[in-house]
Amino acid sequence: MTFFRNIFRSLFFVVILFFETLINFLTGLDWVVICPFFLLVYFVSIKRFDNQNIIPLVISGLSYDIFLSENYLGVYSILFLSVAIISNYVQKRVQSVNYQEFVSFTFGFLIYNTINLFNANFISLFISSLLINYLIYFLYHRTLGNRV
Amino acid sequence: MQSTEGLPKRNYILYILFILLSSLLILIDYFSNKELSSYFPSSVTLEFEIENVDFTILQRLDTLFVQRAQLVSENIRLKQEVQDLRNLEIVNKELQLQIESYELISTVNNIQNFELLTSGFITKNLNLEYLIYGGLNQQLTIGDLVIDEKGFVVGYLREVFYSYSILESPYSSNFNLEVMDKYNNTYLITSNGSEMIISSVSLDNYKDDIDFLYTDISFNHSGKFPVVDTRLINFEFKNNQINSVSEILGKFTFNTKLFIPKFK
Repeated sequence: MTFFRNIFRSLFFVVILFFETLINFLTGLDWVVICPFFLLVYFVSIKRFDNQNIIPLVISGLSYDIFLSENYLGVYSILFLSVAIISNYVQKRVQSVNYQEFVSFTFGFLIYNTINLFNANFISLFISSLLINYLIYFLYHRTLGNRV
Repeated sequence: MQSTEGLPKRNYILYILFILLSSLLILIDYFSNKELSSYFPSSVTLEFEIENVDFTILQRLDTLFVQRAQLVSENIRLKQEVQDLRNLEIVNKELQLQIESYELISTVNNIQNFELLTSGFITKNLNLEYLIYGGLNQQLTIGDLVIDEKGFVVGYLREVFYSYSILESPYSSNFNLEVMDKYNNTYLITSNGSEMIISSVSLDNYKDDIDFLYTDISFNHSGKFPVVDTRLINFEFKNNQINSVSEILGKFTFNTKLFIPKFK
C-alpha cells in the first residue's frame, strides 16, 4: 500500500513539475515565473511535513535532471529536499513573528530559485514571481486549503 | 499525516540522508562523465504515432441487421471521412506554414549549400533554457547552430540527447558566441539573460559599414550566419574597442520555426 501511495504521489509530483515548465513556456513572460510545483512542495512542507514526501521529491528531482536539464543527476533532488526542509524549519522558527508564512515562503522560494541567482535580472524576476506565487498560494489557502 | 507543531528536529534526518544520497549520485554522475544522467535521454524518443481507429469489426455486424448495419457503417465511414479530411486540412496548414518558412529562409545567402533540419520548441526549463526537437537521431552535435526563419542565429546546442536537445539562447546568462564581421574583426557575444553584450576581441581592420556580425567556420561553426544587425543597435567604436549592449529581439513560442543547418 505504501509502495503504491509513493508511486502515485511521485507521479503526481512529476506531472506538476513538468506542467510548471510547460506553463512558463506557454505564458512566455520574462518578468515572472509561475511555480505550481514550488507551491506544492511548500504546501506539503508546511501543512503536511512527512517522511513520505521524500521519495516523491527525490523522484521529481531525478526526472527533472534526466529529462529537462543538463545538470548532474541529483542536483534538483537536493534542491527540492532543501526547499522542503528550510521552508518547514523557518516556518517553525518564526512562529512568533507576524507574516511568518510569508517569511518562510520567501526563504523557500529563494532556495528554489538558487540556480538562477546569477542572472542579471534575478532580483526583479524574484520579487515579481514571489508576489504572484504567494498570491496564488494565499488565494488557494483561503478558498480550498482548509478543506483538504 | 502529522501536524507541523512540535516536530522534533530528528524528522529532518531522513531528508538530510537523502540529500547525502543525492550528492553521492552527483559524484557518480560526475566521475562517469554523465553516463548516468544521459542514459534515459539518450534512449527516449519524443515522437508519437497515433493510429486511426479500426472500424472493421463494426462493419461485420451487417449479417445480423443488414439495413441498420449499413446505416451504421455508412455513418462510420462518413465520420471517418470527415476525420480524414480534418486531418488533411491540418496537414495542409502545417505544410503551408512549412513552405512559407522555407521560402523565407531560402532568401538567405548560400543556404542551398546546407541541409536544413527543421526543429521547434518543446518547453523551457527552470534554468531558463529551451528544449527543442532533434538530437542524436538526426546526427546533431553539441555546438551546432540553430537559426530562425530569417536565417539569424538564435543559439547553439548545449546538450544533445537522443531525440531532443537543450538550446543555449541569449536568454541564458551562459550564452557565449564568437562572431566575426565582414572585415574579419572578431567579437564575443555574451548575455546577462535580458540583454546581449557585444565586446570586441580583435579589431585589426574596423570600418563603420560592417552591418552584420556573423558566425564563421573558423570558430568551428557550421557556416556563416548573421547573429546581430549592428545597424539596429548602438554600435560605436570608442577607445580602439567596441562594447555594445543590445536587447534580445523576438520571443520564442511553439510556432517559432527553427532550423539546424548542416553543411552538405
